[in-house]
Amino acid sequence: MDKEEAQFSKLLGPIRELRPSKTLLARLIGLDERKATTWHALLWYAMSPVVAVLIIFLIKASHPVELDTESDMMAMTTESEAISKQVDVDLRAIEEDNVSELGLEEIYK
Amino acid sequence: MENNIPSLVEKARNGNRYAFSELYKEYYSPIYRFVLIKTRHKETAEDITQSVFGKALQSVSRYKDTGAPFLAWLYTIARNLCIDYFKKKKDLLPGDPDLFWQELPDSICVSKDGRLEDMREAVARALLVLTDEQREVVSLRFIEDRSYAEIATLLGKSEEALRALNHRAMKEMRKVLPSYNFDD
Repeated sequence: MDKEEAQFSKLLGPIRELRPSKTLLARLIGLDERKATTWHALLWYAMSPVVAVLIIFLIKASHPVELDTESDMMAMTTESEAISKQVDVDLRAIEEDNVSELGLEEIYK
Repeated sequence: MENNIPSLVEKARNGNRYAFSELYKEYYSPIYRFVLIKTRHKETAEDITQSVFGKALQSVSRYKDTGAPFLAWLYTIARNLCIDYFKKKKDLLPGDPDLFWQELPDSICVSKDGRLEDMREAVARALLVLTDEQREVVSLRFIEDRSYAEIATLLGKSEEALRALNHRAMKEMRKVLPSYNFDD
């Protein structure tokens, strides 16, 4: 390559960087890239309920003691009422003690 | 890859699409650049390049090894499709250089007074003054960095004819290119 050719080579050489923007290989070879992407998306959507069920199963497996809604709510209510009654009894006893200490039995009779 | 080409071509001839896809990956860009320099229109070049490989895929089973590189066969298809394109589009002028230069890489520049000067527009105009034959040689010689011997096998012309074509092409381009110092 002589000097003049080398100069043109240097000037035009960067055009070698040019690449086509379209990806047409897939269409030519029979595997459309966009189709492939769509298939991946569809596969993912199809799989998502399965994944959701698996997640629920794993959560359930890691929490063996479960709340049995109605009966548990009933038990909790009964327990709450018992505590409430006990508090009432205790308050009455305290009140009676106070009355006794202050010699106010006559007034309360 | 160069060493595998004959084996890939043989496989592609026998209907192996994977082998053809490998050939496609190897040659898509040089064919695209070759067509782009001829048409000076990006979308047209992409469409023609696609057609080149479409035709190659259709007829690869009938491909005969004549001793010339497989790429020479692709260049022949590309040249024929470009001729067809310009025949069909007689009313259409070749790509507008005012737009074509924008497709060229930013790295086309020369040093002038200690700073880099964008040469894309000048280069696009210089390519425009060439004949189609000259453009082919310039493309393979300066853009694809091929030797005259290689270009001779790719285009089926003698080295002497190619040297003469290229010499005239450089002379024409010099007339329209500003007298920058390309050496810097």
